[in-house]
Amino acid sequence: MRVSSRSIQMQWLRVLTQQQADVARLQQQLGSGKRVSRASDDPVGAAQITLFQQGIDRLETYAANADTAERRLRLSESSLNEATDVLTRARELAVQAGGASALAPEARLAIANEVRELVASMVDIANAQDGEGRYLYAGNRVQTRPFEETLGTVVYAGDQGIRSQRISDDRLIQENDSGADVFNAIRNGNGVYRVRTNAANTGAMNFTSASVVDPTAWVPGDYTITFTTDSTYDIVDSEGTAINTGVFYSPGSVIAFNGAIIGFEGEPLAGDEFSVGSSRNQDVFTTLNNFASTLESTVNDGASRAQYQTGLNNALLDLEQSLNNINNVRSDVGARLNVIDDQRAVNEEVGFQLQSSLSKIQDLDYASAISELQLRLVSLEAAQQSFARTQQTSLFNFI
Amino acid sequence: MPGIVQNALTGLLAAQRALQTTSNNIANASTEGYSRQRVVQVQGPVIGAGNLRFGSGTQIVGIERFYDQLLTGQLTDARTSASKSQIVNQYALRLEGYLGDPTTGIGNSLQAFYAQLNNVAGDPTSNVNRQQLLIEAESLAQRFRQLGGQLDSLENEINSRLQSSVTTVNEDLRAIADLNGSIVSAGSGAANALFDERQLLIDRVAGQIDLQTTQQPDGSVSLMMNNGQPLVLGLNAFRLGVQQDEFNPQRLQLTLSSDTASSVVSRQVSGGEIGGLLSFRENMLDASRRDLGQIAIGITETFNLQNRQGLDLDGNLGGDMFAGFTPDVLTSSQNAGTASVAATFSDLSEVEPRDYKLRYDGAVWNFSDASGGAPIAVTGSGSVADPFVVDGMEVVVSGAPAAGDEFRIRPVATAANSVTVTMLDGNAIAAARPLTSGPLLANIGDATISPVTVNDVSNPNFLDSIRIQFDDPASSYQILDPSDNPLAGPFAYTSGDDISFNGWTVQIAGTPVAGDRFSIDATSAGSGDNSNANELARQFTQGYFNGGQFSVAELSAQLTTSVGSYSARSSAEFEVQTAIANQLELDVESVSGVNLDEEAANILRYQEAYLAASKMISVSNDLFQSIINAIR
Repeated sequence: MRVSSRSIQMQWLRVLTQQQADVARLQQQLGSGKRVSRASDDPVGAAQITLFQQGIDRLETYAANADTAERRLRLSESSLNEATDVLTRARELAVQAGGASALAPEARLAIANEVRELVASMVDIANAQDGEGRYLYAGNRVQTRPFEETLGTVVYAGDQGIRSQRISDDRLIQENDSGADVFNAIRNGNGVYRVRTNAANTGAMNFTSASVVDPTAWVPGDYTITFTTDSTYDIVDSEGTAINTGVFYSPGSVIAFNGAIIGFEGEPLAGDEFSVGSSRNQDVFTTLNNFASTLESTVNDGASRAQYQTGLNNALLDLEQSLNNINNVRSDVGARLNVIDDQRAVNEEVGFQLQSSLSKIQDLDYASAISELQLRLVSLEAAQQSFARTQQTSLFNFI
Repeated sequence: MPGIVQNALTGLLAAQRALQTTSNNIANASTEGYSRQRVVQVQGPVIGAGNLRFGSGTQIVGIERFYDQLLTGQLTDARTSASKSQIVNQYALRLEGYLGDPTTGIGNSLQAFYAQLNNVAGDPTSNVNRQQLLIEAESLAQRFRQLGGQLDSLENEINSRLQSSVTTVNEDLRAIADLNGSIVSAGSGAANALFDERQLLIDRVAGQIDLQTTQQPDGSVSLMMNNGQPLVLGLNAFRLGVQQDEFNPQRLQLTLSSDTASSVVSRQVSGGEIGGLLSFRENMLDASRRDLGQIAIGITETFNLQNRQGLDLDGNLGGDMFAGFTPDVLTSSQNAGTASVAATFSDLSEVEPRDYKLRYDGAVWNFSDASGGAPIAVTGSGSVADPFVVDGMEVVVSGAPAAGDEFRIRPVATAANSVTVTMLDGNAIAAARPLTSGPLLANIGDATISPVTVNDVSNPNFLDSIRIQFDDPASSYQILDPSDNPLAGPFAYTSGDDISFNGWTVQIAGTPVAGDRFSIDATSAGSGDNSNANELARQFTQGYFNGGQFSVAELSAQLTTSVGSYSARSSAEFEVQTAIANQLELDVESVSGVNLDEEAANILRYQEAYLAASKMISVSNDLFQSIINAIR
């Protein structure tokens, strides 16, 4: 075929330009380390890259959320530990105060003072902050000091709000417990009912134990046990309906009704009353304050001793309930921390998978890119040399 | 002997002419559009009589131009396609640079926005976090407006390119018509250079617009667009022009006019740079603008919707962070009637990324797809009371239309340009659940209450404090206000069932005891609740469009793909078309191009002929001298 001189030039030029463009593309890939640097390099891959990258970004967010939640839960955990210490100490004091030998009034007052101190510590614990100026136990009113002591009672100013942090696409982790749930919503007595001794009682009888043998038989409500003589009693509910009557034989005996068994000690007198009612929520501060008030009460006869013992027994039961509640919250917190750890491991695994999928699509195979570059450079050089060579040949050189 | 000299002289002259032609070929070896030439040499007429007839030397009858009309026509076509694909590719790469790159597209701003939203969820009471989110929202809005502006500037650039293309094409068409005139009037003696010049101009026009050439017997060529619209007929050149689009004054359309008539031919152009510009504008620029607009709507609207479900830091129900949108309605400048069209969005989640053509046929209004032309079904009659409802829009028509009046409705095309943050105070970010529920501490039973689910914040009593109190026996409950006035009930209680009131829903589960109460109160101002912020943060990946089928994240990935694959396709097309054009150019060159080696050989050939003819003269002289000497 006939070839014009101009077309020879043009063709060489095209070849060289193409080769140089290929080399430039490879150099750009090697420089960035990416096979796909613009969407047109691999349109479908580019969309996947976008989605994978968004997934990885989300996982980073979840990791940050998990850190935040963990920090707050750990703070919560340590303040709950302190609360447990306070309550354990209070229980020791209650046991001490109820010992067989009657304590001297001075000793009781000393214990009472310590209990009042414990109340103050408990208020401090309940007002713990997270280091960012937010109250841990104020529900969602995080900027309000949740527990304020006024006139001997501690009032809750927070709400029952709980918050969560998202730690995976479909998992929220609760990061707080409201002060109401931790310190206030604690059932008093044995958790089902509590026993009170009527202040007007003249006898020296008080309860020693309160148990439930058949929870299904228990009917929530308030009941009054009235001794009609010093050995017989009636039990009526709040409507005045008689539930049971019985004969009380001797000290150490029990009264049973509706699945509840209540142990008593001391001698009752006709007209003495005991009230048995469904457990109510009683905050931990009231529990401690009641305990202190009991210690501070005057004990000078059988009746007041019975009141004192009732108070101590109730304090022990209530403290036990408070401890249980706080321990439950603490174990919930622990469980959430475990969930965070587990989720973190899962997220890391997912993140690793996403990264490697992303890398498969986006990243350059250096080995093949480098060898391709070498190949291209060789052929570019060959093209340049043969171009220069052919340019030298011309018939005009010979005429 | 005079015959010898005569013959030698013709040979001498012929060799001279041939050398002259060769020198012209060599001189023009790299001239664009030059077709190589050669002398057409024939024997001289025979002289003498009888058996003695001698040739009378040689003669040059013409200078021939090497030219293959078929190949040249193919090359013209190939140039049209190649320059179309080149310009499309060039703009596709630009568009891809704006929209297809994760760092320069909306990706980075979006990521920063959602990361900051997450910080707000981490600590909703922090003013710093909230203010920072507003800043990120503003930069996201700016990014959208910037991208919208970049698409606008592509549009403007296309306008000015169209204008300058039109100017050069018009000059070339005029010149071609003039050359037609020169060639026709010169008749068969027209110089080869004129043909070369005309072909060069035709190739240039072919780079701008699709062409068909027809050679006329008189030597002139007629040029027509592929659809038959004439561009040059003999001595007459038609003129291309631009005029504002009848709907959109920002857009120029191509016109073709003779002395008497003018018409818009934008849709008829299929090739060349002009064809490429128009095709890119119609197929990719408009589509990308719509897709981007839909994403802008998705991001802002899902945020606004969720923000309205929450409570802000000041204790108020949340409002909007971003300004709302209205569909863009364009009226044709050709409309004869006085009708006007107003469109509003009724449900942004149903919005489709397309433009609507609204045409009055004299009796009814017809909706169709503005680019494809497919009819679109609507409901309603177009009145204020009963508007047309189509794809999440309500369209009201008023005034008196004339038959043939047209409107365009572009629901999403301009949305990216109008993304605006209207929220001024970070406190207005509604991070909290609006209502907080809980059991009262005096409760005896163990029943628990779920968090509040929001159904309808527009209920006027939505934020009222409510108490749910169980009757005696606790198998039913009543709804009370905080002063214990009964509002509703009693209702039978089933553990876990929905209890809905005042636009919210809760569930109570477990065993309540008579007198147990649960409270539902407005979340307090300054709340650390982040429930709604958590929901806000996941809107991006939640299905929203098309009945909850597509999330904004999916749409933005789709935009990357469509921009990328358009660009990839246009690159491939460009390569193919360029390769075809290059090959044809080589083919044409092989016919018309100058080969210097060939010319060198010709020089030798003609030099020898010249020398030989000279020798003949010298021989003839010798013969003559011999006779003179013999006689002397």
